Amino acid sequence: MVSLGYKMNQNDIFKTILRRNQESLLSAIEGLTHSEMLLQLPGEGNCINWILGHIASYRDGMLVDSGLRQYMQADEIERYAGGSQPIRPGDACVNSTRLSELIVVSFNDLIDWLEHDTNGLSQNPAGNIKDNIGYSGVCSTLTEHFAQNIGHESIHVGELNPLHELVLESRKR
Amino acid sequence: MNHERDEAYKAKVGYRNLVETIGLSRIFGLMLGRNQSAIEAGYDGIEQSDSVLQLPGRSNCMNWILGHIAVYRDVMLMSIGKKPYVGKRELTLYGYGSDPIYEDSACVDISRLAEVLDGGHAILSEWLSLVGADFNVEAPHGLNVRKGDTIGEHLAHLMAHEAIHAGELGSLRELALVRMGKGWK
Repeated sequence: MVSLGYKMNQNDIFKTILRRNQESLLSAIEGLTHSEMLLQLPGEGNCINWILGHIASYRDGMLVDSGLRQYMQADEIERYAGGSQPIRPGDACVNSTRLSELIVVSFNDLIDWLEHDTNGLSQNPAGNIKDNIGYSGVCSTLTEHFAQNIGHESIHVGELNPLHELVLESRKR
Repeated sequence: MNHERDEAYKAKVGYRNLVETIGLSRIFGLMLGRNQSAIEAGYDGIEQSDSVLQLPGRSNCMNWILGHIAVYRDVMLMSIGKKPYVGKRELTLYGYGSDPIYEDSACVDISRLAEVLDGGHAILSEWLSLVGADFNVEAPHGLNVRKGDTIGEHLAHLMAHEAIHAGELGSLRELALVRMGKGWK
């Protein structure tokens, strides 16, 4: 086994996965309209709008944890919390354009923080971690909370792909 | 005196490296555990015939996604010097860019795919729990998928890759439940 003399740290792992998530996410929503982001597949899955809001709220959780500014209002976070009602055409929701903007700014802030605050992950999470968005009951450190939230968002990003295909199919009709 | 200071410095650096290694193992362990839970929740109670159901558009069925994740799990195993579970046939069926799997296509039974995924998860979890896993060594050359120069970088990409595919299982499960009459629509 050859060591390359380069030391990977926790920040590097999170940056790598966040960038992958962001790339897949932006590719799945590129060019879609707000109404297209409300289309539903069979069953109890969520639409793109709900998934975007849910991811954005968990990103806000990481921003708060790290002592950075959060972007979403309390009512917006509540609308997209885990276990919240699905969003269907006509339901109250945040416009998909705003959600797409939140996805971009939160990504930029998190990447910037991970890039520059190299010891940031070793600090204690801001506030009580049990009150922070995305607390899963199995984490107590900032690093663990990031691992949970970023792993969580990767799975939701995957949910976007079949919904993107659904939109493309709907355009053929 | 200098010798003592050097020794103390080495011990401090060694300790810091150890703490960092445990930190990286913990991150990968949490992510792998989360992925495996999502995968198991996706296929739980799903029969082979339901695993080949298709959603609208060009997405893949559950069988293809499970096989694809299994093939990439094997890449993780080989990266850390462990034996893979599947062979060339599975690689052809489920590798990147392989053909979609439909009802009448050749494929691996979902129960076998579940075994492979479970086995790979157990071996990787055990490796991650060992003190001394080195994430800064070069990722082996000759793998059919190599996503980074170091093992750590390579694993980070592969964990994210499998998480995104695990996410695709949710809507396919819903589709299967609807067909079984358990869905609400």
